[in-house]
Amino acid sequence: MTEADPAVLDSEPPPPPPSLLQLFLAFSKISLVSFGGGVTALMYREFVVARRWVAEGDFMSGLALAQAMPGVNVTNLAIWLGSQLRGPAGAVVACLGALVPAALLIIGVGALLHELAETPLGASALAGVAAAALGLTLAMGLRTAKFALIDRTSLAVFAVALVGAAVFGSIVLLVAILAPVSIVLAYRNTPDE
Amino acid sequence: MNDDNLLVALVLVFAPLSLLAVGGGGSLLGDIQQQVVVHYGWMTAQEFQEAFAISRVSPGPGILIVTLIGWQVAGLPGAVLSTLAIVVPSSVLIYALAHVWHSGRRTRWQKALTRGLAPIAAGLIIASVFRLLAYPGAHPVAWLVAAGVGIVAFRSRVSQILLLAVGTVIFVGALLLLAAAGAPDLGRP
Repeated sequence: MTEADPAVLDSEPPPPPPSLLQLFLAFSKISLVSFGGGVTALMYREFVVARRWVAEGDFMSGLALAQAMPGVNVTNLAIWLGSQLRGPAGAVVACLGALVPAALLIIGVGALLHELAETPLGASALAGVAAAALGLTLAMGLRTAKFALIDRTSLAVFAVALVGAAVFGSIVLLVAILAPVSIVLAYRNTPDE
Repeated sequence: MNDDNLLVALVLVFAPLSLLAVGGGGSLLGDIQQQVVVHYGWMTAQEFQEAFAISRVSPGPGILIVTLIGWQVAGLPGAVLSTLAIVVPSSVLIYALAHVWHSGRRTRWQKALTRGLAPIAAGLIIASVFRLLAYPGAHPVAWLVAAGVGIVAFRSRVSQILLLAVGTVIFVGALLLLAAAGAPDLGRP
């Protein structure tokens, strides 16, 4: 995130807000070129640096919201940015942009690879992709843990979530109980500045 | 289950999960597998594993595995309703909060929200990996590949696409070698 020179950005007047079609296409592009991680940096470059739809501080605040709240980060950020720029219609259109083209594509890719899975080699290749992709998911979990585990409380909450979800599979009751408890405990442990 | 009941069941599975996706869709994988494979029996464990693999090689948010499941279980209505169910509840929540979540300095509650949910997200994501690897019929080599890729991805900045490709090649190669060496097929008990 080093391309932006804030002094240069601030000296130019901000561009007019994008049209709904531009919003749709911008989020389609982000969604379709994103693969695994790196989507945050991608959105920063696209929306803050290249298109200048949002100031850096506002983007970071929206990103914090998108990451803190439940839901997919890309669609959460699409809702937030779309509504900032074009109101309710902007939120809907940006979210559709992030989802619809990628959803059509996954059904097409699914149909193609489903055929492939009929052959023994194809089936083991897909099993290999699943195994490697689970490794990437594991790394994401480890990175989240590294960020999250800062005291005994967070360690205890982590342990309960991990063991509970691993044993029971279903997480509805687990998260419904654990999330409010953990947020209140974190509030008590957060210094009031 | 008739078609309407099936669509209702898909929505009832995915809509609550939408609000529980702390840290993104990765937290939900174990629960989705539990519901789709074990509880409802809509897919076999292997078909679910396949859908997961497809969702990782197709561009777009990983949560679209839900679209694929809906499509395979109940066609176009299933795909549309499943996608809406997993996206709409969390989106409504974000939309409502977008106006009260001001930019600038973050309040104590905002910090507590992030700090309180992060350890839950970490636990759910790692538990999901465990549950997806532990399905009956999974090959032991899958555990090794997942652990290897996980450690390398965690400790280095190697590109994810490269890791995915190398992990897949190692998995397929190991299976072929084991078969050539006459090892019993551990993947199909």
